[in-house]
Amino acid sequence: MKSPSLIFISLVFALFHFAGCQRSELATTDQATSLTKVQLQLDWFPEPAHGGFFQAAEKGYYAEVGLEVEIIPGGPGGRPIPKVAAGQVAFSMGRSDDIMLAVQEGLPVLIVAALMQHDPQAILLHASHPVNKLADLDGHAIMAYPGSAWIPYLKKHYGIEIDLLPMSYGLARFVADPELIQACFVTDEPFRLEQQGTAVKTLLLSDSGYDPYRVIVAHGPFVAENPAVVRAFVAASLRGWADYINGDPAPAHERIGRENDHMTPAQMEFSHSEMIRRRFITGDLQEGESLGSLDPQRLDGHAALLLEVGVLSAPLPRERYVTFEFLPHSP
Amino acid sequence: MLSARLKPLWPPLLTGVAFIGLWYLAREIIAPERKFMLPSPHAVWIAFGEHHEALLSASFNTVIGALVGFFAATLIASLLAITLSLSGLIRAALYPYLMMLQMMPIIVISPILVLWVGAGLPSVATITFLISFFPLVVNTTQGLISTDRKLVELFTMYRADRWQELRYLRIPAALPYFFTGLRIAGVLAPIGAIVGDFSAGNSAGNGGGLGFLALIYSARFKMDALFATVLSGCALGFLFAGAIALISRLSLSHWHESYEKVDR
Amino acid sequence: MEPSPPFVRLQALRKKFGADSLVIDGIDLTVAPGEFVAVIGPSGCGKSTLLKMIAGLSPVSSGQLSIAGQSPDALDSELAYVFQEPTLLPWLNVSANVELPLRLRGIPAESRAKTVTRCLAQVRLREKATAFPRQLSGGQQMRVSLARALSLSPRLLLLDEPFGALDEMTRNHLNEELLRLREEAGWTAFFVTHSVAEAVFLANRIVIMSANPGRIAHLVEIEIPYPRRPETREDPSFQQRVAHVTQLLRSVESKAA
Repeated sequence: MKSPSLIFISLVFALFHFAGCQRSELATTDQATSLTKVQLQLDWFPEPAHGGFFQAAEKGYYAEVGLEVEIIPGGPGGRPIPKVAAGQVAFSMGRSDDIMLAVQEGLPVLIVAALMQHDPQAILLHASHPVNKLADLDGHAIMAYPGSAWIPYLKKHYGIEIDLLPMSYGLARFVADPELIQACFVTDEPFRLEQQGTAVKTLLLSDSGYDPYRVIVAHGPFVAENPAVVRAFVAASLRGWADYINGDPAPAHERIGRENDHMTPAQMEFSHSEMIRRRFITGDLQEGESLGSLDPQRLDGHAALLLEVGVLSAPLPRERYVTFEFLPHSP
Repeated sequence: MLSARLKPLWPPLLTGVAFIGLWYLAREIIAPERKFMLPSPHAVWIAFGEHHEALLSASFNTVIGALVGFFAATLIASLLAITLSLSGLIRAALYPYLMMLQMMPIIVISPILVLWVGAGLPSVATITFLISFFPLVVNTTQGLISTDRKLVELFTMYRADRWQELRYLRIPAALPYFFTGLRIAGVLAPIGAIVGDFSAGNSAGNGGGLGFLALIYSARFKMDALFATVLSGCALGFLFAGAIALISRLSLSHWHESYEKVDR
Repeated sequence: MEPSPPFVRLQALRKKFGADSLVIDGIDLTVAPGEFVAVIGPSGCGKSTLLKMIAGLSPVSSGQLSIAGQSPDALDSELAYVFQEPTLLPWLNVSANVELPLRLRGIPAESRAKTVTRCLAQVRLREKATAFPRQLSGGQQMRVSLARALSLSPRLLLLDEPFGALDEMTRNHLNEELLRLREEAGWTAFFVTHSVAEAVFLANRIVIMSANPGRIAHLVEIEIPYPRRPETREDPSFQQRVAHVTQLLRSVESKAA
């Protein structure tokens, strides 16, 4: 049978192709503008959850620090973390638990700042569904991304059994099946469904105690070799986020609307206000949270949790997955 | 004595060793931060050991899904092939739709399938069925209509009716073609089951095949386990292909020219 | 005047393929039971087509064709056809091949087995009963084909160059065997061949056809008495007849050229 050899041979050839690429390609100089060009890989189609980056780009904050940032859209099946790890792009975003898992497996990625203080992931159900709290999910099937770390956490935390279905792109299945339960972003799918006339309710995952950061990640060796670029990028991005939250989000929303056909102004307005209302981005000032900040103890606690649940196989030292050197000074 | 039986094993063994050597070499060439993309052979080996329970259980589920779809495909394809062989009119009427069905990308229709038949085994078996079905129908039909004209004349001479001709002539004569289709379908079936898992997998009660496992390892960035999963899939393919080769040999070797020993 | 009523009668037989191609143009022939008729002629003269028409495998365009007073379609086991190739089913062994016509007619297994044994004995291949066709030589396969043809005890045997692919010695043996089988069973035969010597050895009447379109050019009676032995071939009168028929054949060929 030829296919196993074929798969491996093509894999090897692909890797030979990658082998020669140099890290320094991650930051090149634009000859015309003499700005440093870097790439930011989005983890989904352009949406308000990326608003701050677009705001920074549209309002020239990146240019002001000498950067030209190419924002690359993502989508279903896109795998931004391995792309960063492989050195194909300099920056992307993700959840802190995913980054910990990646680092455990030897992927050279590093958290450089927080993007959101709290995770907007939630469980989505039809309004008529009998389940009303997370513990009631016992014995039910949830459509989510297999391998997500919160799944074993929920099982252990509430002592329940959950059946897993692979996530399929689009809401067709949810609309068609009043018993379907799936994962979602609380700022996104619920609004779209209500617009379509489907009544829904959500259960925020962070209510269970599972509340990772959403973070900006960078290619590890790149950070070591180009700290100035990283610093500039983080600063300008956070500035963009601050403006996106506190100022007029129109520049970002216009750009998102251009790049994403399925995004409506109403949807963007909802996501934007939800993010502010629930304080996902800035967090709770009284807890010492602020835009972009990372609390070492909170990270430790989260890592310990993952270790307890068995997702992390050994304790993971902080310096392997995060650096605090680029964070804005505390307010 | 023993060495004579082992002799045919040397060539593939040598290639295998050379291949593993290339694998290690590739790892040397890759930049250090990219090494995670290509786990070393021994890391994959260790991953096999670490995850053997999950892999075995997933392989079993994939085999079940593949077998159900495969058997259904064999049965229905054979019946359809016989129907198609009966007249050129029937073939002209049905072939275009068969072609259309074949062209439909499985990956795109699998979410729709999940909506219709439900996740888990029903969907996986259906996807396997769809993937295995066409080579079987096409090859078997070809075999049934390609019967040696002299033999057909012979049967006409004996005033055999249509069903006798089918039973005693066309079907036995079509077996080599059928087995060709079976060989192709047999390799595709496990692939179908694994791909089906991506959208239709189900972890209920130890469910979930190799595709589902691949999703998990991929999400957890466990490349070594992912490679082990891929290799398990290949092993399944070998298993299917081997089983079919055996059945083919038992049915055909006593008479078909493809089994004649050639002196070189 | 034939001593017995005609067994096979062809009257003004014509065969057209499509609108323009007239392959056979007006064949008249009467054959008595027990005769051995050989048909020879240049390539393309339609001898195989003629045989197929008699067998009922190819429809008659116009004219009359009757066998024992009936058209070929009405007949069943009275006719047997032996092809140029052995046309054995490769997935069946020798016994199964020979019993095939019996099976198709629904004859029960026990009497099938008896008939198969008898037929194989007749062609002297009993020891090969469980062998598969690909294990047999060309000559042996042909004998199995003959055994099969004889399994339903036909009254008319139609043979289309059955021994053409074999070497001379095998061919001669098979010719002798064919005549012996006929002695035992008494069937009538139409035998198409390219070989004049074979025709003269086997037949009591030779039909020489001309081509484009096919017609009977000559009818030659071969009055060598049966049973004919291998030594017959050495006979001067035999060789004379071969020369005579060869000459006639050449003249037909040159006319066509």
